[in-house]
Amino acid sequence: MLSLLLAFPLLSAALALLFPRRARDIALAGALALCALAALSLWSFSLATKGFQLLERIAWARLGSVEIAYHVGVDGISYPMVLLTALLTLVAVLVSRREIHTGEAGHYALLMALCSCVIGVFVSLDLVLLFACWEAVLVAMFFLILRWGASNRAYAAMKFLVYTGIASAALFISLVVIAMATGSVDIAAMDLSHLSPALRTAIFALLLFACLVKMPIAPFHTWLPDAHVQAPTAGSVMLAGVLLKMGAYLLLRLGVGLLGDVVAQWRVFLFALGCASAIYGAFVCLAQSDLKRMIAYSSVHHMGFVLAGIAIGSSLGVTGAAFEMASHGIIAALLFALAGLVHERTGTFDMDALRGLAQRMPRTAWLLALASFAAMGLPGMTGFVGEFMILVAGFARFGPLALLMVPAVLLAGAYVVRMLSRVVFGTGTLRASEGGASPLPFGLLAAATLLVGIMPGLLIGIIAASTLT
Amino acid sequence: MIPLPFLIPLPFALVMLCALVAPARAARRLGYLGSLAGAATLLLVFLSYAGGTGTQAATWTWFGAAGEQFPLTITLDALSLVLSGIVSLIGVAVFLYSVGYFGDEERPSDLSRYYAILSLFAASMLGVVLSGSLLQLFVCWELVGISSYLLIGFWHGKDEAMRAARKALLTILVGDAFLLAGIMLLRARYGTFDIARVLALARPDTLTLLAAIGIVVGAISKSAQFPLHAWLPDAMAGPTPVSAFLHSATMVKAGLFLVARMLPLLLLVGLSPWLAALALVTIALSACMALVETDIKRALAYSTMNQLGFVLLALSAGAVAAGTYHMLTHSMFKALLFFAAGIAIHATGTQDMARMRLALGANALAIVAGIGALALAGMVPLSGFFSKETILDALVRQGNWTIVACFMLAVLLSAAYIARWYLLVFARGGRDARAPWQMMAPAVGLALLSLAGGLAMGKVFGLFGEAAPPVLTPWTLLSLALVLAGFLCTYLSCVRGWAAWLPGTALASAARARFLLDDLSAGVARAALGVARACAWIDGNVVDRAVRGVAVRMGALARGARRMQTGRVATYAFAIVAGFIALVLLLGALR
Repeated sequence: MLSLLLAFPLLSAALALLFPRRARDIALAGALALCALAALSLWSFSLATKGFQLLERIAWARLGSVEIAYHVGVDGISYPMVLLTALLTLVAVLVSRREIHTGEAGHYALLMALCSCVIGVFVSLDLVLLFACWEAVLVAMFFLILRWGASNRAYAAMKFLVYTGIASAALFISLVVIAMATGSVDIAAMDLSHLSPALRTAIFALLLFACLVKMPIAPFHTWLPDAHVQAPTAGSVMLAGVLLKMGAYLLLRLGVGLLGDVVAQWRVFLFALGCASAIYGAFVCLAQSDLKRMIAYSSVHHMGFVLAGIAIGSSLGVTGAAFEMASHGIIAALLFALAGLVHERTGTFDMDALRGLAQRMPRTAWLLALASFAAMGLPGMTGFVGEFMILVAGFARFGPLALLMVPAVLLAGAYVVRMLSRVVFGTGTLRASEGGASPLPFGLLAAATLLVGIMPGLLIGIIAASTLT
Repeated sequence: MIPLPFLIPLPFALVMLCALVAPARAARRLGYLGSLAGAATLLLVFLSYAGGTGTQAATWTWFGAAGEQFPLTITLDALSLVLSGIVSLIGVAVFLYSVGYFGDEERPSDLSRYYAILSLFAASMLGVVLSGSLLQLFVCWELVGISSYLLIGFWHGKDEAMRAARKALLTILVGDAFLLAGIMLLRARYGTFDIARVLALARPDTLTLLAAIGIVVGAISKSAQFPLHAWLPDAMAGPTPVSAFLHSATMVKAGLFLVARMLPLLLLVGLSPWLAALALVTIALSACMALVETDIKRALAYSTMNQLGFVLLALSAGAVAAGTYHMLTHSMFKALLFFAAGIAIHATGTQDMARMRLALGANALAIVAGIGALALAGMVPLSGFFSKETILDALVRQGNWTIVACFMLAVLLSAAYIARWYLLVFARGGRDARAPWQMMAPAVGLALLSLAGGLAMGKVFGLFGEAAPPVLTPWTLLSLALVLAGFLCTYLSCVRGWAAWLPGTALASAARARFLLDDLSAGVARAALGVARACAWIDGNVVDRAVRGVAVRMGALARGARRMQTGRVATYAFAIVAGFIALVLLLGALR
């Protein structure tokens, strides 16, 4: 099943390259088929199983005593991410249809390949396979920004590549150390508890650095706004929606999963770092006047909450973090997709120039309001549930220290309200109309955030199928 | 089988769905539907209350995660019964009034949005007053806040409306953050969201005190009490039915409901004097500001603050029944006054009271507005008289004579400002105000309820299991005399032109400047924005600069290293020899 999910996007990428004239339709068909497959896979995923399932293993190569395998499987932490990737790939393909007019074949091929590699990161149970996918994601996104980005794309793409590349180097070292120390690269069967505390701390420190850059957590976040502002809409959707989650996922899988006692030692520091990043990100958001840049910084804010949830480390905290990861994936994708549509119609991301959007593009404006409310954690949408679980877990773990999280919640409201008052409402001189834009990608995401927000049990049930929760 | 209490928010939720999918031609008639939903809700409230004895609670687990339950609990007791009755009853009137209020100049899509959000508000407000769990309370509390934002900003093209909406939401969000902190601290301390259990387990310790402070701040921001009140007068930029429904009759009661609900806990940690102080400051400031305000709706907004201060004062003395009863009567006469103000604005096209010049005499508007004003002043035998007396009775029995004296002064002031309001609007001209029946009928209905509200006193106190206080006491006569004195003062200064120096006093100027409290809240907002700008500057000029600096250094290092590759054989030969010698020396040293 999982191999199909991995292979299908790759197949459509190859087909898109072979038939460049039909690339956009091939990609759409591939994304639709991927979503259908992902939906079908729900039937084979057992909610009652704690631990990895849908396993597939093929021996691949042997390096000394280390056996490398094509080994895939999912649990409650990774499976929602796989579903999210499928959904966002469909959205990315749909929003690209209006935006990308040059080099279509290459764009769609890269996008589908990116999708496959991201899924690969989430399903890999082999460190080598995981790292290969991790790096391939980086390369695919680099070319997406470099070729189809905005005016300053070369700088942003290079910054993205080098910054996250350094993080990958740290990750690589930590993976090599793990492989050498344990003689195994099989995540499912890995046990690091017999390593010396110093070695475990060193491994965790390297891993943590890689994940903090990838998530990103302040002060390692400055590649993000540049990459987002320059990336095409589809790139932003994938970047904010799933690429950032790779960092948080790895921190959960290898950090909490294998080095739980080191995480516990660093708990207060990580929690404070997450809160500080969330507050800092929200403050920077509040001062932005570029819509897309603001949405980019809102990712720093939300991923700060995810880090806090991971640091709390109780099952509720981890559940909250995993929920928040999926929730932010949906909401950030919706925000970026809407920002892309607004830019396509108005030619600007400048908030003051966009004033009065509700009078010119009412449907887009109200969807933007809905997505913003979701981002600030309004009950009835997914943002609330994740944050609320993290808050409850945080207060249970830390008591009054958890009050640190509260300003972050408040500031999210502040930057959202400021953005709405400047962009959506008021009277402006904007000239635009929204006729002809397909509401499908936006409707899908809005429906997802409302559905899961009103019935969080749907997602929590899946998340619970993991040994970490 | 879903327990009956869970169905109470359902009618309004259905109206919301209807409004979202309604075709354009039906948009104008959605108000009738909302009115019907209000009536259905009223019926449901009483059916579910009559269906059992005493307090009823029904719990439903919204979601569970990692062994923790996140339950929604509906509690129907005397307090929530009265408040949900207010919401549905005023809902009936407001939805009907809206049909007449919005003319043909509003687009159908805007009207559908209006009714959808108004229904969302009504449903979530019912969720607030029926909540038996802090989780449900917070969920509905947030939804109420957002619907208030969207309704104040209904005319989103008007900058004034959007500024007011933003101010209201931001102030309320500050309160929400405190409330959230309070709820979380209680959850951490007592391990449950269930209000009844928290109240039963509560102990007076530091954590509980912190939580109680959070809850009080949340409550005063929602109920527009000092010092988080500055949003309420600005919120009058929204449509008048919204002002009547949210910003006088129901939403601003949510904070007081919360105080009443959590009162045992607040009294346990000794917050009673603080609540009384907040209430008295609010009462004093709002009365002064109401006495100098020239905008018809803003003056009413100050009087709302003022009357809510009375309720908070009653609650601080532990008199939940008296406070709730005053909330009930206030909802009726204040919604009525707003309805009258809306009709007056429609008829005259201005909100400036001095230029309205409406006819005083035997016309319907002057009569219903007069009834509302007399009820607010606390004139016998209208509803306000009875509810004010019950508060007075509670204060007298509490025995703090400073508070009683302040209350007496407040009674005089509230009679004075509402008389001024009435005389400014009506006594100066002969214009006649006509209004469609959809606007007049709700006003007349509420006027009748304000006339007869005194009859409900025994019933409301009975719900709380208390005996209604005696009506005729020396204190009652004294306060009645003060009401008349208030009227007289206004008559002498407004009509006979006595005390013309009064508007020139420092106090009046300070009141006109709103005691600089608006500037204070604006200053806080500016300070937050300043911090934000500083963070953004740091982000670009410190954090990212460091990153770029590393890149530039690496580049320089690489350029430096490149110089070694000169391409000349002599250089390389020298390096080889030097390296060989260095190696030999090194090996020798190691040996």
